[in-house]
Amino acid sequence: MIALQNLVKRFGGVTALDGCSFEVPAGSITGLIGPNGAGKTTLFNVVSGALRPDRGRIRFDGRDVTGLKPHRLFRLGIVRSFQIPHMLARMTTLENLMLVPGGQAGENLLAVWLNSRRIAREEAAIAGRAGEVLELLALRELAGELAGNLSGGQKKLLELGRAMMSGARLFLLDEPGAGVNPTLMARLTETIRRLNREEGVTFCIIEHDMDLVARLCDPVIVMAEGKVLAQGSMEAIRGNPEVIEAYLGGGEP
Amino acid sequence: MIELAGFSSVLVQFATFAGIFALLALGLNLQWGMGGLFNIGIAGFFAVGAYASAILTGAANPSHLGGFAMPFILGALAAMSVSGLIALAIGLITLRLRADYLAIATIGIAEILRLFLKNEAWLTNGVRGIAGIAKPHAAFLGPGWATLVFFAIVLVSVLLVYLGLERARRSPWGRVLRAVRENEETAAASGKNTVRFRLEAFVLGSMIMGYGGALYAHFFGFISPEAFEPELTTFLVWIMLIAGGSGNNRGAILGAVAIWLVWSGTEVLTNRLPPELVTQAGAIRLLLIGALLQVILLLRPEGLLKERPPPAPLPPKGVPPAPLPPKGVPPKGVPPKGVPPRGEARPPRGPAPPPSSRA
Repeated sequence: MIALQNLVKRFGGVTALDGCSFEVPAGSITGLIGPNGAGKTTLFNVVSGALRPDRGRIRFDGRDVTGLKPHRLFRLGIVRSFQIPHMLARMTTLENLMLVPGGQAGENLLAVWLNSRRIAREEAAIAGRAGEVLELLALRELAGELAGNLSGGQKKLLELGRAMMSGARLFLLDEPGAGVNPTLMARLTETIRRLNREEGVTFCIIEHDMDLVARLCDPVIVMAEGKVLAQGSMEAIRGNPEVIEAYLGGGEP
Repeated sequence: MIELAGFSSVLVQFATFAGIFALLALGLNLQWGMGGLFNIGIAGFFAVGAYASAILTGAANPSHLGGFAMPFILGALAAMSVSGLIALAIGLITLRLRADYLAIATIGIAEILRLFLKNEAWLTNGVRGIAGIAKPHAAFLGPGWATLVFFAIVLVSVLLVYLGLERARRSPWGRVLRAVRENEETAAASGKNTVRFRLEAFVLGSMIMGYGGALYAHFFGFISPEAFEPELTTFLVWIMLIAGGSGNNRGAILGAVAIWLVWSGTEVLTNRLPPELVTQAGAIRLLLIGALLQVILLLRPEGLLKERPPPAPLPPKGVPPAPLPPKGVPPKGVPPKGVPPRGEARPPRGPAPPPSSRA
């Protein structure tokens, strides 16, 4: 689905990505783990277009997409969520979701003034979809609430909701489970599985919750110091001494 | 009777100026209130609009460019075009950068424009300014009616700009613009070309300011670079928007009227002072307005009318969600109609267009 070749990204003297290469197979739920500072989020920033890599290539469906702007990548079918929720605080929860679908006729100002009927129809359809997503994420009651007033966990769910509104084929989720309570967590896991199975969405998920990764992800990619340390199934990874070394700082498992 | 006529003419003059300022505040609300664009060069766009219309509609004058004698409507269109083009040029350069750069660029360009208008005397008559700018159809209507008709033009302009901007605010376009204001990264990650939306808002807002400038020139009849010092227009319009409620179009209009009332009201008072104090009183008025802004920011930081998200059409509640979503098709909501969302009186019909709207 997406192939990363030898990505390098430096910030001043810090080399966040140091020749990182791997592939996310189409239709997979790929886990991306690694100790803090391994470069996982930087990798997402580069893949989603927020940052330009200093070196290396990114191919999406065989097409070179290196250095494209985020909105262009979104149109190609890549969406990302943020580790720290990036909600639109002074807009309602519903608006946060209705913003997302691409190619809305109402985003053209002339159409807004001249063709309000068509836009009203389109809005109703988008609101319908947003309502479904809100229901799935148990945020329905908060549809009219300003997103800035949601709890931390609810904001994380809204991040996933934004991705779900996109219709993208590849979701890059940055710690979707952090701060979400166990009940909602189960719902979140189930939602990811269902989107994967039924709508063929490919996932690449950064997560620190190893149980979640074990339950959900295959393959799992381990990053450390800007490089891929190991990849494979969770069982294989768990037994890999290098991984244990990097993650736990050595010692017996 | 004569006193009454005098009073009503003062009232019309007050309301006309308030209307012109309301247009400027609406333009700024589009840029700052909705788009988060920090434009502190309002005076520049205002001045360019005023001069463009004055030059194009004026009679021939040996001391500066003129003699085109175009009708007011063409002057107004030119005012909007020139302001819009200047905004486009500034926007293309600065809107890709961080927000602070726009502020620096706009204050710079406003000063450059003012100095240009002051010094290029062949075009603008320099510091002596342009006099005798007529109201539309003034010769035909006579001075009394021309003033009234002009007031009507201003009033209708405010109304149309308000309706147009309010519809834009409630539309998906306005939603993207507010999203860009809230968090540009999120808007970009949601597939929006943020530069495009900021540029559109900046250019459109500046065009409205240019149109306000044209109205000012024709109403006052005389313009000179002095009239476009930043403290009068830029400062006053910012206070109007902040006081009225940034992000709220009605707030922009209310703020313009209220602050203009305070501003011109205090002028009436200070003009009664002995002549040697009048000039100093002018500075004190400015100080007073600044103090008023502080009070507003402390007591009502969101302004008189705060921003309210547009009513959105939420479809009625579907099947109550199971603890876990069923394995199968996602619960399809019933087509959106019927129950309005919580606390909303408006029927769910898209980002509701203004009452008079029809495609």
